[in-house]
Amino acid sequence: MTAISLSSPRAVAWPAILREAGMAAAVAVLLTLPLVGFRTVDRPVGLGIETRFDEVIAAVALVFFGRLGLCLIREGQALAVLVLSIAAAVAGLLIDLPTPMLNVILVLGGAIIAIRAGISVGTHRSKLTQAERDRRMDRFGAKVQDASRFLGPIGIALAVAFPLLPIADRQLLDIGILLLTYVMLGWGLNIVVGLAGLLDLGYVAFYAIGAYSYALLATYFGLSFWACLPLAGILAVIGGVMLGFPVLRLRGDYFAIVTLGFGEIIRIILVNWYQFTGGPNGITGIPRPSFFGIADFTRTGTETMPSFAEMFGLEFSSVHRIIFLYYLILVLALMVNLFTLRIRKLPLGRAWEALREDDIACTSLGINRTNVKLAAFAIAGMFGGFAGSFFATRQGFVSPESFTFIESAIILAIVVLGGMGSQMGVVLATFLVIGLPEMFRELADYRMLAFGLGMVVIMLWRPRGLLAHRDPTVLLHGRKGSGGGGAAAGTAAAGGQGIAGGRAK
Amino acid sequence: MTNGSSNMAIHDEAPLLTVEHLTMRFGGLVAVNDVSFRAMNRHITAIIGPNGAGKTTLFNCITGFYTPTVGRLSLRHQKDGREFLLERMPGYVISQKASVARTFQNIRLFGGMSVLENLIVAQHNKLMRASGFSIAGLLGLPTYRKAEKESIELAKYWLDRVKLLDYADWSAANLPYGAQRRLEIARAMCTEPVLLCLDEPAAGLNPRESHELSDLLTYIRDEHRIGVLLIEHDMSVVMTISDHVVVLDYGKKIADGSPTDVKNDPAVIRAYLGEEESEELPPVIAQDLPEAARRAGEGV
Repeated sequence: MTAISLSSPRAVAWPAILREAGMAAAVAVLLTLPLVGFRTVDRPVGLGIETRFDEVIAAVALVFFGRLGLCLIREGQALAVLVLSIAAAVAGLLIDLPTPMLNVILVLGGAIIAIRAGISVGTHRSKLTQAERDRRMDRFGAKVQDASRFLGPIGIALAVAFPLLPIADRQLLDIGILLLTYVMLGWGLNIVVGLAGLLDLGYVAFYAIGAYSYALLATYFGLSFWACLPLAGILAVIGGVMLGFPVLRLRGDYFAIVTLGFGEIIRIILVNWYQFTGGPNGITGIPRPSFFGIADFTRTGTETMPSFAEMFGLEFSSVHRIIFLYYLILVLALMVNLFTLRIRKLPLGRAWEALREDDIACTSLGINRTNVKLAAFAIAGMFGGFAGSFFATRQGFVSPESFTFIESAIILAIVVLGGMGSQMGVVLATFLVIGLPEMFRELADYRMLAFGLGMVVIMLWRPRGLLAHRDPTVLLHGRKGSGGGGAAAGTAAAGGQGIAGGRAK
Repeated sequence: MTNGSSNMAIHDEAPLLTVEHLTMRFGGLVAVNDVSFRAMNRHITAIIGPNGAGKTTLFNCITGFYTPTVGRLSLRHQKDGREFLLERMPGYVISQKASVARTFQNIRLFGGMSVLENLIVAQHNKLMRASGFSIAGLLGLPTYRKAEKESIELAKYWLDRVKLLDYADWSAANLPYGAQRRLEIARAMCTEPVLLCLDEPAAGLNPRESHELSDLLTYIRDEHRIGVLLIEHDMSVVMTISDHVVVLDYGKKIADGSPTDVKNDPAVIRAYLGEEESEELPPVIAQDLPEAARRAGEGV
C-alpha cells in the first residue's frame, strides 16, 4: 500500500497548491486580524488597545500549513502529510505557544489532518463522493436504529440507576435534570417538526405557558404541583389551538415566521403585564414539589405533611429533593417518548408523517389537514407545558428571560441535529448541544465556540442529522424477509426533503 | 369490449357524476368554459384533448382542489341514493364523504414511507374512528388492532392486484416509475371510492405497462363496480378501454360519445390536426381525408 503511494510518480503542482494555501491564509488574516489581533483593555487612564500580532501570525501559519497538508493529500502525498501532521500534533502537546488555545488548535488540527491522511493512505482516496457518504450514513443510521432496540432499554436502565451510583453528586444530578428537560422538550418538538414536518420556531412559548401557569396558580391560589401539572398542560393546549387555528393554513417559511412571532408575543406579554406576572422581575417563591402530596422535602416537614426523611426513616439530606426531581423529569420525558413511539403506529401518527411527505396527497385521501396539524400542535404544546411547570418547580423562580428565542433555537437545533423524527437522535444531540458545554464550563468563553464548531461539523458530515433513518411502522414481510439491505427501509432523507419542499412551495 | 359492459345490468348505468355548466376562470383566463357531461357508474369515461385544454382544471374542480366559478357538480351514490354537491365541499370532504379518489399527473406518493404505509394512510378515516381518535389506540384496545389487521388485508389485496406485494416494505420513493404509478392507483382504491379519477395514469409507461394498466382499469370497473374518470393522452389506452369519451379544446367541450363516434368527429380531428389545412387541402389529398381522419384518431 505504502509502496503504491510512494512510487506514484505524479508530480506535485506546487504553484497551484501554494496559491490555494495562500488564499486560505489570506482569509485567515482577514478574520483573525480584527478578531484576535486587537484587544481592548482597561487602563487606569481609560480604555487602551493591546495588540496580539504574534498570535495572528501563529494562527495564519497554522491555516497555511493545514491547507497545504490537505492539498498534498489530494495530490497523493498522504504518507508524508500523515507523518508531518502527527509531528505537528505532538509538537502542540510539548511546546509552549504564546497562548494555550493555539496549542489546542495545533493538536486538534494536526489530529484531523492526520486522520484524513490516514484514511487516504488506507483507501487511496482523499474524499468520498456525496452519494457514497449518504449511503454509508444511511447504513450507519440503520445499524443504530437496529441497536436502539437494545440501546433504548439499556439507556433507560442507566438513567434510572444513575442517582444511586456513588459518582452522582449534586452537580452531576443537576446536569442530568437539565439534560432530561431538554430531551423532553426535544421529544415534544420532534412531534411537530420531525413527524408532522411543521417548522415551529416558537416552541418555547408552550414551555413559558406551562411554567407561568404553575407559578401563577401556585402563588395566587396555592394549588399544589400535582394539581397544576395537568392544568398547565391544558393551558398550553389551549395556547396551541389558539395559535394553530389562524396559522395552520400557512405553509413553510410563512408558518415558521408566525410561530416565531408567537414565541415573542408570549414573552412580551409576560414582560409587560407587570401587575399579574411580575414583569421582568419574574415570580419568586414558587413552591417546591411535595412527594406526591404525602411528604415534604424540608427538614422538619410542614403542618400538613411530614418530612420525607422522617417518613422513610432516612437521615435528612437536601439531595433527596434533587433525586426526586430527577426521577420526576425522567418519568415525564419517558412518557413523551412512549407516546411518540405508540402514536407513530396509529392513524394519527401516520397521517402526520404523510402530511410531512405530501400534504396535497393527504387532502386527496380525505385527511383533514387542519385537524391533523392542530392535533400535532396541541399535543406537542401539552408536553411543552408539562416541561415548563417542571422547570418552574425546579427553579422556584421564573422570569421572561428564561423563555427567549435562543431557547427555541436550541430545542430546534437538538431535533434537527439529532435527525428529524429520530428519538435516539434527540438524546444524542442533547448530550452534544447541552451536555458538552456544561462539561466544559472551565473553558469559559471558548465553550460557545466549541458549540458552534460542533454544529458546523455535524452539518458538514451529517447534513441530515446524526441519525437520519426511518423504520417503517408496519412490516408485511417482517424484519428478515424484506429483501436486502438498501431496499428494506426508507430514509428520513425524504422527510427532510419534504420539509425543504414545503418551504419551497 | 366497448359495448359489452353497457349491455350489462341496467341499474348500474345510472349517472354517477353529473357536470352541469361548469366554468372555471382564473382572472381573465377561462380554463373551463361551460362544460356539461355525465359519467356513468361502471363506465370508464375518458377526458381527452390537446395540452392546455382544461382537463386537469376540470379534475381539480371535481376533486375539490378548486372551487368552480359557475356550475354544478352532483354525485349520486348508487347504493343508498345519496346525492352530494361537490362544488360546495372542501377537498378532503369530497374524498371522505362523497368517496371520490384521485391520482395526480406528477405522482404524489409519501416517498419516505413504505409502500404498505402508503396504503394504510389511505384508510385514515376508517382507522381513525376505529382507534377512538387515537385514545383507544394508545391504550392498545383490541378494536383498533382488529381494524388495523383488516386494513392490512385490504392493502395486501390491492398490492397483489398491482403486483407490488413483494415490495410492500420498500420505501415508496425507491420504486421504479411504473410501479409508483400503480401504487398511486392502489392507494386511491384503498379509500374505497365510488368514483376514481385518474390524471394521465399511462404517462411515462412503456407499451407493456400501458397494457397492464388497461387490464387493471377494466378490472376495477367490472369487479369493483365503480365509475372511472380518466385523463389520458395515450390513445391506445383510451380507445380500448373507455366506454365514453369527452373531448375538450380551449376549455370547451367539442365532442362527447363512444370512442368510435369521437374518433370520426370532424371537430375532434380539427382540434388535434389544426383547421387551416383542411380548408386549403388540394383535391388529391381531400380524397384521402377519411384515411387521415382514421390515423388521427389512433395515432395522436
